[in-house]
Amino acid sequence: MAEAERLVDEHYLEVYRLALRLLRDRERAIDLTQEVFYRAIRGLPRFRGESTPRTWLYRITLNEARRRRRRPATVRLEAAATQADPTALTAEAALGHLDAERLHALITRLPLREREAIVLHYLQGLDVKETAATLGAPENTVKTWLFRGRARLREQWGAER
Amino acid sequence: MSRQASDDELDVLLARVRRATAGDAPPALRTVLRVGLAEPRTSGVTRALSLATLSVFALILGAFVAPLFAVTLATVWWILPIAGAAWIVVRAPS
Repeated sequence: MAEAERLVDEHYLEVYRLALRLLRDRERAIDLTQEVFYRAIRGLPRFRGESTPRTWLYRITLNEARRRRRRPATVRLEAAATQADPTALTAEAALGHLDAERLHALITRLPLREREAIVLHYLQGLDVKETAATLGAPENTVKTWLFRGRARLREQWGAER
Repeated sequence: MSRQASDDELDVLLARVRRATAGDAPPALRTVLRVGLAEPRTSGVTRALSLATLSVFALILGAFVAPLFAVTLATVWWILPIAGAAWIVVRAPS
């Protein structure tokens, strides 16, 4: 039980953020986080430490998010942004948030592997090696996904302006 | 004519998305997760046993109780109207 509590305490926030970044919806991110830890705690006796707990939890999160993504997401980034920084927004900051929201929407429309690689690497802050371990793919493949994802984002960002 | 974002612009935008989604989780989430740890989990064995118990009850009900009830009712059904009539006679004001 102590191990499970430690797992929750150390990782719930990053799992929640990953869920939010994948789903773009606070309520669904909360729900996903609960599901991830429920599954993780049940699977804890079988966790043999072949990967780090974080990588393991991220994999569960990605799998569960893939399963849930069939339902359409609603845009609720503003709420998360307000919570991140409760100070009043200046006009410039508001525009920045709108840009962030737009790019986040574009990210969630990327092909699956590119989207997950972009989210893990650029938003979640994992290096390429950790991203590759989480996605279960070779590093060079992940680099290709990142490159393609970035190219697609640059292109779509311009196309929608 | 649309213009693609440059690599630098994209980096700035990605950093914005990262910041915008780096907020704290709802305060209750951690509590909910920890409470969830304390709740008894239903193991596979428990679920299988529950299912087996339910099946046995259904079999007993279908194989013994229901036919027995039906036979009893078919045998003594005439008692019911007689008992009803007797009750009415007893309760009727004289």
